[in-house]
Amino acid sequence: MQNKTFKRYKTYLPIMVMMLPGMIYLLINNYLPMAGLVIAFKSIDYSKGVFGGDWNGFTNFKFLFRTTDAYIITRNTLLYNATFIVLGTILSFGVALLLNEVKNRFMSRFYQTVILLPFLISMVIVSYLVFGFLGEGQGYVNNTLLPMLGLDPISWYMEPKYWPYILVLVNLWKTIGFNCIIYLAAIIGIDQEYYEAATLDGASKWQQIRTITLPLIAPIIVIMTLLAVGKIFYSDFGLFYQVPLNSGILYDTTNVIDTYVFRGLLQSNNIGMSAAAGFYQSLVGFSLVILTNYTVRKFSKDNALF
Amino acid sequence: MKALYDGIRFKESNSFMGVSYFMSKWKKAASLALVASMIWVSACSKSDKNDSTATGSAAPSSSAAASTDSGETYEVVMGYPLLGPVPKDLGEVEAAISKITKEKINVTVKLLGIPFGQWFQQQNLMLTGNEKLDVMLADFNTYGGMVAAKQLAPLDDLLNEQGQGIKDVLGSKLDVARIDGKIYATPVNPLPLGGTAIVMAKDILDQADIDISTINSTNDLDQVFKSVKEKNPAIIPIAANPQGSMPLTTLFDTLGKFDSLLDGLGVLDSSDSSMKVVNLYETPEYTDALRKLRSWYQAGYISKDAATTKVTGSDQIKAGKALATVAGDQPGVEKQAAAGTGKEMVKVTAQKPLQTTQGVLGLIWAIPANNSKNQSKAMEFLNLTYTDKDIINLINFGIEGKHYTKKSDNIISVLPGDGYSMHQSFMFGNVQLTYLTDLEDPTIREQGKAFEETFVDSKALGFTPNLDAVKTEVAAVKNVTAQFVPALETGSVDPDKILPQFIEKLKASGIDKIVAEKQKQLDAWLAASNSK
Repeated sequence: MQNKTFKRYKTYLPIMVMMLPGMIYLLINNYLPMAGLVIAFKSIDYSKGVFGGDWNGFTNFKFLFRTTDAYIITRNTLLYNATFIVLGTILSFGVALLLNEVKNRFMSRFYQTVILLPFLISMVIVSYLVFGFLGEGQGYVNNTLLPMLGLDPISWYMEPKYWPYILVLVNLWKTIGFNCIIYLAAIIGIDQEYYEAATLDGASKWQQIRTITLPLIAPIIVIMTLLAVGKIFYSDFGLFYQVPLNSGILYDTTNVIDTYVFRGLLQSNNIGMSAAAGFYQSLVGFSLVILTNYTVRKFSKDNALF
Repeated sequence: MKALYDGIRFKESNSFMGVSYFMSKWKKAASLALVASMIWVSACSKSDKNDSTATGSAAPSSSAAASTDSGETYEVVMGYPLLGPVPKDLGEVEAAISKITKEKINVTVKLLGIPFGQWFQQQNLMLTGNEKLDVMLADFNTYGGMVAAKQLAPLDDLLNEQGQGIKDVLGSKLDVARIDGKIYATPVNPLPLGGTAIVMAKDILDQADIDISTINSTNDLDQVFKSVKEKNPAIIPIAANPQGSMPLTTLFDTLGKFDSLLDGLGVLDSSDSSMKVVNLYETPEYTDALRKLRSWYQAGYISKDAATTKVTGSDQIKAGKALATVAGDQPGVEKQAAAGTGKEMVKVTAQKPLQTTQGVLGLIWAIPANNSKNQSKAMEFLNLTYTDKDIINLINFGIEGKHYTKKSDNIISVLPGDGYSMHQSFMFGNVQLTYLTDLEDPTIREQGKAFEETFVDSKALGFTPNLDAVKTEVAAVKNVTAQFVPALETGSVDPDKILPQFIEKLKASGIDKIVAEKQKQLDAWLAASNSK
């Protein structure tokens, strides 16, 4: 028995070795810093070191709930990510379907590359691309597009109400390429015989998509969505900090938990309060993951993560 | 997260290929990996602990280690913001300074200049990340907070032992830096700086036929900006600085009477003898200033991108895109501005000088408590920046013969080239020791003395509030000011609409509590200083 167990593990040894770098990365980046969570409950005293400060209960959390800040950042984080998940899934799946129909190999690769390109651009550069469009001095929209339509220029960086749309647009533009490749890979993996049989039965393209592609891709979509929901309380820092150029007046619609924590640390120079906000983020994020997984389990046990 | 993600995709793609046995074994493999990782955690945390005890014990013993002046040469890291690009020959200058310091106090020096746009972020990250930093530039804005967080080392003992030169140079100015009886930073001994001035590019003014003697107050600026804009629509008349330095509100003489009591959250009207702390953002003077800025913004006098700009006003003028910017006032400020912009500049005084605690503490040098591994060496070096003419001029102008030539004993001519051009001699140690450039008025130091005599002392000079008790409120209020101030103070938004929202949010965040706390401390300070 002992020997057998060992043999079994031996078979998987290469796979485990392959896993090692990822695990080490996780450990260093995600597990070790967890010890720092205690800082949220301490009054930081630099002369006593990071863990040496006095306990001060929930004092650090006070500033978060003193104003409407906690509500706004929670709302923004959740709504943005929910929108990204829903629209992102629909669009990347749609684009994958379209790409699958492009039969010319060269063109198909060309489109894929073009769509993927934004994913590879750093957010800092994206922020300047957006600025190139929306800036007031030389921005394309204000100086070319709007005058052409006979409209007045808009101070984009001063008007919070436009930013939900701008940020969603930028995010979709940037991330669709990557997600659609995953879907495309799955679609390509579907046995062509299904489609041939369907064509013989006279099924239209739309019927084929609905009854063959969609059901066979469903597990992938569920997994991708679950993963995204797991991260729903973590926001793309670059998107929310760099792209609006850290313009204060936009905070109502651009402030998310990550940017809030970052600014808190920079402005008030107070680790305790930043840690408190981070703790709050982890707590809510954790509950959301458990909740989503629980819901998925209810409906389909196989698709749940754990 | 990414690894998890890859792992699951791996699992999925396997089931696609029909290798289903892998899935059933997945859990076991995962549990083994978990065990392995736990061993890792314990190993890591163990070594981590060792590390922290090592550094923990090193900190208190550092002063002891310093007094036994061993043969080991210590490297002093000096952190400060760079107003221009990183100088190309920084390494050579470092070596030249180190040569002197090694001989005198057995230390080498590393000049850690950080571009101004990133300075505040970097500075915080260095302090919280315990990076090595021995002496650093700080300012009145952050001083109180840093002291409250115990980030700065108390300097009294160090000053007595290694800082005699600083004490001689600064005299009573050092006492202004006291918080709860202790000194945590040494003010730069500057050419007197107070109030603000608007500095303008002369070529653009000439083009628009403007005689600056006609400009006497902020209200006259309207006409200037108007004619410049008419003559040359592409020019932005007044360039805003990036967030955090010299906001455009400093142009308004009406706001000059407010002593900001360290951070501007709760200010004192110095022209008034009631000694009442008020919320600056609710004063009619502030509203008027915002309205004026708004009208400038709408007329195109302020750049549309002013609230989010990362380019300093001086660089905008250098690029030929702007006419003027705000600067701290002092004799010869136009010459300094000229050095920074490469253009002939003229100045008009905007705010009259008010001698306040934060004026004296405008720029200060401090020794970070945890980042410096050898505080007494740091102090020895700091002392040299107040007393050693060679060192201070190396920092400011670079190497003689390469970056500048001497014209007479105290006057130099900066050589062209971008090897080492800093133009920020106002922030290092004893500014009185720096050479004068041939572009400067040789009588500038005498003018400075006369200028300093025009200063009106604030009624709260020497008072530094300790905001520890209202820390939560300060953090919340600062979030609010960060949200509204950049837009409001560049005229980018309508004050009639946004200012009430701002004030309402300030109140919700507890500004009144901060004002009350400052009032309480000010009253106590007044009572104490009157009884003396």
